[in-house]
This record gives sequence, C-alpha cells and structure tokens, in this order.
Amino acid sequence: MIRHLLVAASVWCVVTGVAAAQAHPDLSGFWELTYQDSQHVPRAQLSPRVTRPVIEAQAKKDFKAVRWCNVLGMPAIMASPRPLDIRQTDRLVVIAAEINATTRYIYLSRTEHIGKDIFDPTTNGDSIGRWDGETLVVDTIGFDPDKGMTAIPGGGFRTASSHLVERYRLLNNGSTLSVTFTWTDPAVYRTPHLYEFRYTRLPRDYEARLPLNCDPFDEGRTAFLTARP
Amino acid sequence: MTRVLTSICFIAFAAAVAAQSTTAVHRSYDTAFLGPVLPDPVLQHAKETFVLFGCAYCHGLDLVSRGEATDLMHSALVGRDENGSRIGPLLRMGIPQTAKLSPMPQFSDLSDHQINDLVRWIHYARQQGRYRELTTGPVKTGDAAAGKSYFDRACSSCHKVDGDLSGIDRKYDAAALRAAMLEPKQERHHTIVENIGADDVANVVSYLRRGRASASNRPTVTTVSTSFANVAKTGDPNGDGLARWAPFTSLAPQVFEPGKGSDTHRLEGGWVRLDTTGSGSFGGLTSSFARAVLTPAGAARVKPQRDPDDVDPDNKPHKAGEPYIVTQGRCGVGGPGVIEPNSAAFFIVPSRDEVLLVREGPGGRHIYTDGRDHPPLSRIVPSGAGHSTATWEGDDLLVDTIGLAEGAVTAGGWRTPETHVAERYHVAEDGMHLRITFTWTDPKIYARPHSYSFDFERVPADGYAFENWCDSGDPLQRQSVVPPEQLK
Repeated sequence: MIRHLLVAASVWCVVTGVAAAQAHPDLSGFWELTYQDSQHVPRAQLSPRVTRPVIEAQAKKDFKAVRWCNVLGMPAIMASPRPLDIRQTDRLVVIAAEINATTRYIYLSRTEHIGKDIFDPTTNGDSIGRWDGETLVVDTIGFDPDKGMTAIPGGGFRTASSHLVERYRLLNNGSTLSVTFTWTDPAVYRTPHLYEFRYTRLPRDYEARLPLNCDPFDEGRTAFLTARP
Repeated sequence: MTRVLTSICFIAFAAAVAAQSTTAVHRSYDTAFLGPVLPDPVLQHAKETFVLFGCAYCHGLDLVSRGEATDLMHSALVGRDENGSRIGPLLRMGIPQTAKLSPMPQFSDLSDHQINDLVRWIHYARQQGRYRELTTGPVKTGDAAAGKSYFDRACSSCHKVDGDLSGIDRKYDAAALRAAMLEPKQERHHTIVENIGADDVANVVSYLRRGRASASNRPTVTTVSTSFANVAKTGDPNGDGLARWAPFTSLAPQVFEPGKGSDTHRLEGGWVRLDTTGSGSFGGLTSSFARAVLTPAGAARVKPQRDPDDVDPDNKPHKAGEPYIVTQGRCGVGGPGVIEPNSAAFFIVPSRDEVLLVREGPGGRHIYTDGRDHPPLSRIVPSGAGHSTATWEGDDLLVDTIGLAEGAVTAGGWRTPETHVAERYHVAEDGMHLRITFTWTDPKIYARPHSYSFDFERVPADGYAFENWCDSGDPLQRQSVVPPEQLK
C-alpha cells in the first residue's frame, strides 16, 4: 500500500512538475512601444576602432536601406512605430511588425544556432529562445552587416560578429512587456551595450492595420529624405 | 415559490424605504440647511454635530466661512491636523480675539467623541470643497520639473512613474488625471488634497504627462520612411538613433488575463506549396479547377488586370542575354498580401486569440479567433488580405474573410470587398499534409459558390525561415531575361 502511495506521489510530482515547467507566461498579443519608458537608452561605449568615418560609412548604408525601402531588420523592428504582433507557441515565438521589416522567428525548439556553414546572414539573424523562469531569453547571431538598418539605439551598429541577448518579461500583471537588449560585439563595443524597451499591451480587440507603405519611387518622400538636415 | 419570495422581498424593501422616510421627517432641525442625508451614518452624525455645536454658524457648513471666522477650507493648521491632533486642543482652549479675527469660544466640555465627530466633518468637508475648487476650470500648463520635485517629496513613497503609473498619460487626459489624483475617495490622498496648491497640481500633472507633451511636439509619423529618416539623415546612430513614433490613440493599458499558453496545434508550423498534382506548375494546377460560374452582373465586372508595377516594354526583341526591363522593381511592405499562398513557405502560428500567418518577409495575416465580428465594410480598407475571423471545428480552422480589394480570383472568379471567402484548413491524419479549401460566395458575383483547394507539405521540423530580400535600388531587380508576354 505504501509503495503504491509513493509511486502515485512520484507520478503526481512528475506530472505537476512537467505542467509547471510548461506553464510559461504567454507573450502573445499586440504590443506598442511606449516612448517615455524607452527613451532612456544609455550611450554605448564604442570601440576605438569605431571612428567617425566608420560611423558615417555605416550611416550611409542605413540611408540606402531607408531610401530604397529595404527590409529593415533588427534592431529597427523592435522600435517599430506601429504595434508588434507577438505570437507564441511551445516551439516558436513570432514577432510581426506593420512596417517593412522581416518577421522575426525565435525558435524555442532548438538549443543551438544554425551552423555558419549553411546559414545565410539576415537582417534579423538566427534567434533561439529558452525560458529562464518567467523570462524568455533570446540569443541571436548571424546578422547581415550590410543589409537593412543596422543602427543600434544608443550608438553602434550590428555587424557579422554581433551577438544579441534579449530578455522578455511581463510586468504590471501582464500589461507591460519589458525587453532588455544586450549587444556584445568586439568590433563595435568596448563593453556590452544594454538598454531596455517597454511595450504596452493593446486591447484584445485591437485590429491590426495595413502595414505602413513604403514607396521608393514616391518623389515627395525622396525629396524629404535627400534634403539637407 | 418564486412569487412568494418576490413578495417578501418587496415588503421588506417597502418597509426599509418607509423607515428611511420616517427618520428624515422626524428630524428636529432644518433639513434643508443640512442637505440630503449622507449614506454614511457616522459622517452624517458628524455633520449634525458640527451644526449642533454652532460651528457651521461661523465657519459655514461646507467650510465656506462667514464674516471674520477662520477659513477652515484653506487653514494651514487644519491641513496639518491628524485626527484632531491640532484641532482638538484648539477647540478646548478657544482663540482670543485678535485684530483680524473674532474670538472663538472655548469648548472645554466637549468629549473626545464629540471632538472626533467635529474633526471628521471638517476634514471631509475640506476634502470635498478643495476637490471641487482644484478640479474646476481648465488644467493650467505647469512646470514639470517642479512637479517632479513635488512628486518625489509627496508621492514617490507609494508611486513610481515607471511602475504603477507607467502609461498613465495614455489612460487619462490632463483633466481626468488631475481629477483622479485628487479624488477624495482615495483615502491615501486625503492629506494631499487638503494641502496641495493649484500650482502644484498643475506641475504634477505636467510631470506625469511629460511623455505625452513631448510626443505631441514630434512630427506625426505617416510613413515608415519618416520614422527612420532622422537616423538616415543625421548619419549618426549615436544621436537621434531612436525611431520617432507617434503615440497611439489613447488606449488604456490592458490587464492581462492569465490563461494557459498556446496549445500545440496540428496546424502549427511551416508549410510549402509544391503542387505535385500540377507538375510543379501553378497554372497547371489551377487549370484543373472548376471554372467559376458568375452572374451576369459578376461577369460584367471582370476586366483584365495588369501588375501596376509592370513597365511598358520597348516592344523589340533583345539579343540573347540582354535583359528586358520588366518592372519598376518596387519594394515595399510585402507580407501575405494575398490570401492564397504562393510558392514561398508560410508559417501558421496559432495562439489564444489569433492565428497568425507569416512568411519570409514583412507583415502577417491576422486571423482573429476571439469571437469578434467583422467590422462594418465602411471601416475596412480593402486589401489583398481583407479582414479575417475564424472558428475551430475540431482540428480544422474555418476562416471567413471580407474586405478584399476588388480583383481576380483563381479559376475565373472575381471579388469585391463585399465578397466572402471561406477557407478550411485541414491537416491530414499523417500530420504532414495541409489542404486549404477556398469557397467564394457573393450573390452579386457568383451564381453558385466557387470552390477549389491547394495542398501543402509540412516544412521539416528542423527547417527555418529564410529572408526574402528585396532592394528597389538594385537595377538588376528590374530586369528579366524572359521577354515580356507580348514579345513571346
């Protein structure tokens, strides 16, 4: 009898343990960046190699991406002026924006990055995620150094050697999403560059809007972009 | 039985009303002067005590003082009083006559209980009066820095602007924020309401709404280009490196309703259309579909369509290898701009309220599964994806879509924003094959429902999304070595 009870208790512990392990916070929803909570980005400690000419050269690439409506990629997508649609399953977290930035795929189903020998760098890189308690920790490498908008808030830019770690946490009873970004890149930063963005959960009846249009042949737009600051 | 209970309840209610009326009628003093009976009997008693001891005669029932009596509404001493700590001794000692004020008699025989009653009414009336006083009229523009100073001193022990007050400027406009801050029902704020000045109120409101104020000074973002233009224009990612975004409409932050995360669903995952039945040719497959049967009115709407991005051909054959310029090469926001997936893989991401369909480019198709209805057509901007809602039937997802931009439909069909298209997403028993069946209905267009299906293969579990790259600035993107249709 006692043996049966112990077995039953063990099974119960395993079952509840598994259930608890699977009961991660659900990040799914529409999230809008809140300006006042996200503007305090510290100035990055740039490597001495990141000289003014280097910055200007990179800015020219970014200008081209904006001018020609290229997909923007990370980290611009996370600063989208429109809400982000974040959807989560047990194996995947997807972040879709209403701007011309490629949808982000964060794979929870694998623990290692796609090998460099087969992965073609992209503007979003290769992201894998894991749960650390209530926090989703996302690790990203494999960025394309030339495509899209490479500028990183606070200074610096993404390169092929950039490594980004994001931590997603729900705050305020799930109405706020905190994402901390930590960029490390020996080619750009002297010390890890860390900042936080906060997003507000939009009402559940929010209706996604048509994406912001980007027309590279719009003359007015072109004139605006090419005018002197 | 129900009728008996209802009768008993009615009788009890009537008796209660009668008792209330009797109490009011038998008061021995001027009830018109006292005003309506307060719901709180303790407070009502305090109010009556304030009148009975003659306080209201000089100081006014609502603390609007008469003659030379101290203005209890604005007295600093009353503001500093805590549960009679200052008012009590003063009542017992009285105030001698001064050059400016009449004397106040000693009330040395007041019991502690009576003093408590008087003090209770004085604070209540002061809070009510000052709330009205401070919340009347437009909100002045205050000094946010001074507001921060006040906030740090008086509010920060309980509140944090980046904590519980995060997003409060989105929840309230200035007047509502001011009213919420001073609302006397919030017991914790009583001391503030009784002591804060009008300038401090304006300053704190300005401080709490500083994000809104600065946002309103920024240009409104109308296109993504202006969003990132400052970075591009300044060339300095250190400086104005952050995007400028317009504040969203004043939506209150939503409280998350805890629920279980997503279920692992058979639909979830990547799918790719191989069209083996069409021998790898999309045209080959669709030519096997039953042609749409249109109404005369529907047939009259059908017109040839041309890709708006196509350019006029130069109408002469080129040498082998010499490219034709066939499109403008326009890149913009792509995404599932059409409801029928093409050869690119797409991914189905089911969640609690929505099924999101995404591809290897920007955007996504949002299919709402939270029970909402379509909005009126007048509120839908017609597009290639329209507005989609869905329900689950077992493992099948049943999608209904309206609001599609007018245009052609596979196999001779036509659509307008009013047209409904129903989609059934069904995964085969082996879990590796997906069939989407489209059924178009519109009494103005179709004589009978127009239906066909596409089949998809599951992307391997270790597969991952690529990135669909597009660069309008790349001249090669405009070219094709395949001659335009009219030159073939």
